[in-house]
Amino acid sequence: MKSNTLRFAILLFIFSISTRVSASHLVGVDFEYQSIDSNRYIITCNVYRDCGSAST
Amino acid sequence: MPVEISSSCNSPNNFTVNLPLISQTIPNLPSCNPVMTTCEGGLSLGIEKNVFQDTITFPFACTDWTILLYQYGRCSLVTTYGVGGNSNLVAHCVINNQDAVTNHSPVFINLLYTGQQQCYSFLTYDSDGDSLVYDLVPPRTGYFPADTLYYDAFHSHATPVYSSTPNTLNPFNRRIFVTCQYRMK
Repeated sequence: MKSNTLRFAILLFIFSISTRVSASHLVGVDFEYQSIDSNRYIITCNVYRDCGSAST
Repeated sequence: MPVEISSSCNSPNNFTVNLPLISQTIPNLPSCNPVMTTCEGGLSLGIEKNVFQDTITFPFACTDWTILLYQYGRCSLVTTYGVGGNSNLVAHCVINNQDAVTNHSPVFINLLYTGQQQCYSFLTYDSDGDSLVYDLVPPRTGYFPADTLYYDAFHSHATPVYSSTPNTLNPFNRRIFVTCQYRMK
């Protein structure tokens, strides 16, 4: 077991209301990474957003 | 989704990568007072998960490769924000490919502990078996650590949920306990 202590920001913003604003939609983000070798990594960015807004 | 990659080591030590969208799903996110969300055809805010992913190559070994996402458009419909609502959302992670050459990050398995309405469990899995410590940190809105989100008078990064009992996070078992009093916004 490695001795590294990984600290993750836990983002807690979810929840509701009755109307939407299309330009403002980001709710939370987290990162994951997976080592292929010492220099190559698969980087994953999970983005949580307003369900009805544009996809990117 | 563009992310900025930088380190404190040799120069040049920064570049930008555009991570492509690989999947889009609607996670199961129960609330204290469930209502129809926009994901279900209702009017209440619904949340979708967009996964952006790619393989990147670091040009050299360094202890602090930082991957940073900087996006405008923090959701203004979340009413626990103060004046910082509708602002930037900034997130980052740090990779050490010098001392831990084959390390993997932990992975969040679920976002909410379904079935226990007031217990949020950020369950994770770490394939390396690393010891993990959890913390609630101020959400960032800019490049500098001091650029953080303003909450309203009743919330903070340590108390993100309105509750009749103190918001508590166990740093080792990652569970947050709250007691919801009304529908959270």
